[in-house]
Amino acid sequence: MSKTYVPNRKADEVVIFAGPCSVESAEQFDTVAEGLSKMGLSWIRGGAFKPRTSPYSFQGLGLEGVKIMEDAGKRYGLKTITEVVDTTHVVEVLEHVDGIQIGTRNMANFELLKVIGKATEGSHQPVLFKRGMAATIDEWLSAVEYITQFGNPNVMLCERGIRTFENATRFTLDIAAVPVVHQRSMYPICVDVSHPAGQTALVGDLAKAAIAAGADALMIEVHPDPKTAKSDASQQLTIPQFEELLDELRQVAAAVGKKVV
Amino acid sequence: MTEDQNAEIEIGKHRAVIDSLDEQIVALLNKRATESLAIRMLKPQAQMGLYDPKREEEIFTRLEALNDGPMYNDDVREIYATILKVMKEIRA
Repeated sequence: MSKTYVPNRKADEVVIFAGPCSVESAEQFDTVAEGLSKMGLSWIRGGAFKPRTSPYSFQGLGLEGVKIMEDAGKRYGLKTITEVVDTTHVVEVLEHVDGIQIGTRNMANFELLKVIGKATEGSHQPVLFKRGMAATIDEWLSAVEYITQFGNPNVMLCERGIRTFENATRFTLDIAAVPVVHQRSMYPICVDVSHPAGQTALVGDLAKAAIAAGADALMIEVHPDPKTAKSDASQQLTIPQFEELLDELRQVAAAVGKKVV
Repeated sequence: MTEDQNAEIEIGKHRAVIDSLDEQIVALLNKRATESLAIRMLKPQAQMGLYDPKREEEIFTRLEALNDGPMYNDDVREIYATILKVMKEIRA
């Protein structure tokens, strides 16, 4: 019998992974963590190892950033999730955070996927697996089994926009990926609305569309002071902007029989 | 009878065989689709997704072992990739 995973999809919840694109300092990350905790959310995201387009851009705080996340997560009662880009970092990072993310640029980095699959085989720590920006849905659904083949069923897919001829947005959000993934697989699916938007003005509408389309989770970048952000400044919401959006998202979620956590 | 006319008669004979084979192929594909749909109904209970890359690879590998030409294994794979795509998309 061909069966490599068990689903972990909660039909009545929308999980929000909010937080800054990059962890820049303890102070910056704590400010966001405090805000999210007060809003009643359960997770915080942050980037410590940043796979930037240019090698000369800010590359992240690395393990120091991961430790900042761990401290803030404990202090404010939030679960933490961060991206890992290097096979040699996987085990150490997993000791400090609750969940691990595989970014769009690494969807086809099968060695990394196997290392993460093996490293979470016993712990079943959540893995958020982003779609490659030029990958078909079936390529993505095939690649995910590099992780799940070792026994961790706790994998969530994450649509984050694909490359098309359209340049009004940073990436074209393939909203149809949400129902298609639900149709073709048992995996839950998250939608990263910040990267396809590329600008804060579009984030809210994309987030509402994602929940309406049936997304199991959203990823939204939130920064205490986006204009000074070291990465992705133009797409990160301020904490008050995010709080206002969250109220609207709760209403959309309620309309489709879900609650935001 | 000219050579042209001879060739036309021969083509006609082959086409008659092809028509008969196509009838069988369509009937078999519909039988296959019926089985596919039955599996599709059962998959949610078994907590399995509609798209199963491991099973698809098993099908390709099996077919390649059965293939004795003149088609290349790649040709068989290409035809079956389309068949499997359609099987996932047909309306119940």
